[in-house]
Amino acid sequence: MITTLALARFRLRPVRWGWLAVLAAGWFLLTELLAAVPRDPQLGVMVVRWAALLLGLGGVVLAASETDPPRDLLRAAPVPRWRTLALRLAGWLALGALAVLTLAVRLDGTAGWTAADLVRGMLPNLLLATAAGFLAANLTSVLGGGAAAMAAIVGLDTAGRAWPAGFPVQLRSVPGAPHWQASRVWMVGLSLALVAVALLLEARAGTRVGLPRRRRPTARPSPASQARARP
Amino acid sequence: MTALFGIEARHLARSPLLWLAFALAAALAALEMSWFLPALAGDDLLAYTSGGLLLSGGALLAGAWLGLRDRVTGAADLVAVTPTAPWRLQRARLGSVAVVAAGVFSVGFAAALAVSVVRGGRGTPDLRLLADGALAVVLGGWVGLAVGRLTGSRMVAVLAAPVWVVVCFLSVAGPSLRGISLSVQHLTPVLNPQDHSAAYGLLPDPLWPHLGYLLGLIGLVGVLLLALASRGSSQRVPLRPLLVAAVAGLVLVGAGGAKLLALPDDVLVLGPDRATWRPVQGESDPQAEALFADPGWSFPADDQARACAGDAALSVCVYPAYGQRLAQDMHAAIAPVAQLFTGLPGAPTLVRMVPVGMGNCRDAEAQVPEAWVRERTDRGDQQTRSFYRGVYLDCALGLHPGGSEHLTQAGEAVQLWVLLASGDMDRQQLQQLTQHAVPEPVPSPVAIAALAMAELPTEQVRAELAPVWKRLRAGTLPLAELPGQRP
Repeated sequence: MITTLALARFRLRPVRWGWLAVLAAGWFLLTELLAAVPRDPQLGVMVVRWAALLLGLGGVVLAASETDPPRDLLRAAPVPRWRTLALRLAGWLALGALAVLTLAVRLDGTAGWTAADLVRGMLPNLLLATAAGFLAANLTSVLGGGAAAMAAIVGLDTAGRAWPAGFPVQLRSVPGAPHWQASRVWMVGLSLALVAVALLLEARAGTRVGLPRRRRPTARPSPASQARARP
Repeated sequence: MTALFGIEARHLARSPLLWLAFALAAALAALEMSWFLPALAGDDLLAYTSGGLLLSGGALLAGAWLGLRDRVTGAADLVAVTPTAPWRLQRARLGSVAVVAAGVFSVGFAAALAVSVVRGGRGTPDLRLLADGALAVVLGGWVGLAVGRLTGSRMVAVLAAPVWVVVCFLSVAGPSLRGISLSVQHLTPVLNPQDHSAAYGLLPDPLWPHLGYLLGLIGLVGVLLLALASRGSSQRVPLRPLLVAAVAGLVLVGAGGAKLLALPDDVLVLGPDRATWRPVQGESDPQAEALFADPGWSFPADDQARACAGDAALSVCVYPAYGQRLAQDMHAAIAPVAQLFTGLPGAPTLVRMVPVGMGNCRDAEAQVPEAWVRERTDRGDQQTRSFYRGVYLDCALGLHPGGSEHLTQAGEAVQLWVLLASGDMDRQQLQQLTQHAVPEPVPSPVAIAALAMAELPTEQVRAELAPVWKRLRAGTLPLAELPGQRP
């Protein structure tokens, strides 16, 4: 138990679970507030569902290289690298799901959406955004992971609007619509696949694609103003 | 300083964050444009709304990265001891963000217009949209810079972009917000005008005050960032220019914002004379809806629909922004039907595009609202042709297009005969309509009457319809008096 907790919180630096809990609680409060703003309750439900995608961005901090900067040191660690990430992911999903479930119960009946429908409408969104951010952040950084996750969401939404009948992931689908159930299943499946890829890449440390190569030291130092930073 | 400006601009221009947003904005704009008929005066707005918001979010992320960079790379201490004043470094960064952000938006805007031209779009794009969109993206970049510098948190920077977009989106949905009568939707960095006409422009037109408002906001954010940069440094930013810029920014924001808030949510164009234009606050105007539903109302002549195509029997005129090709397409769809009604009293000889309404009939003119023609989201070619014919047929048969009244049985039979005689429908399809039509099947007597008319030569039907035509349009002609019904 102690090992599990320790793995979830630390590798080389602690994950700030307290801040993540504040983020989830703040998300809940703000989303509940925003959902009440539109005159049309359907628009309120839409806000809630998109907010679930936003909440998923919190996952990027768990896997980003900035959280465990000197990764080479971890190669010698006795615990498999992927296990820490898996535990962190599980912890974040539990935290996010708790916020989602609470909000769904609070908004039960809004615009004809039952709490169960709201959960079905929000949880896959949370999972998808978390998984996309988790994988992308593992390959790049917090900012890169966040941007990639948002891009994936906007891209999927655009594709769904472009091919409303043919594209399997319809983020705007509503209960009773032809793609509602299938779309939820696709989103969960896609999310699990993304998470699996992220953990696999983490397990095979050093073979990750997309990591910037180290530059050979040059005789002429580059100006400080040209110092590169990964976005 | 110029070298630093160039270096920062190059770094930012290579930022994957900005180009990721650009790719998404391009995809979204392409999708939106595919749902509408091409017109430069219209596609410019789609490029602005679709691209502006996403690019603004991308610029915010890229700006945040720039704001965080010194801290992330550990170069902050190094920068602090350089002899150049920190505010000068910040000024170079602000300039580079502005140039790159405006450049990226301009590239996207130009690309969208080029695509529109290739698709057949005509007209004159509103270059104020280019300026407004560029300023909105610059503002996003500078806000990102401020977020990165002030918070120093990557997570806050990541969350700032979607929050920025969501706040903009909610403001855009202003008219439907609860308990707010002010037009707060105009205060969002990227506007989302609900109504636009290729002939009459944005309705209402918030662009000039919005440009001033955005300039003011950018000025204020710039002043804040320069002041922050010189904090704790012995080399202070000159106070007087900073104060002037801050006051100018406040004045622009105040004046522009007040003007924007005072604008109505919507403007109904009821004629070419601006005095007849009616401001609408909220989602709908019951008086306007009643006006449009009135069969006696029609849009006055305005000489705006000047791209025409036609023959002796029928002319179709649309706004030049849609090109003569649209007029030709509409004419080709309607002409076979119009030929059958040539010479009959009340049959339209002109189909004219108008900016508003539900399709109205005026003397020998059928009016087709611009929005109905331009937006063709789910319509196939066949449905589009049927739609054009429908507008014409409604006016020809004395029905108010888009109204709630229905054709009499005689009118319905004549409509079916027209579709049969023009080749738009065959007998088998008519048989199917008697069994499975939506919303309700065609009654058998009507179908039988239409088939009987179709058996007769067209000229004979026209000759026999002429004496009873007025009664048919008035809805008082019984089915039994149609051609081919009498033994």
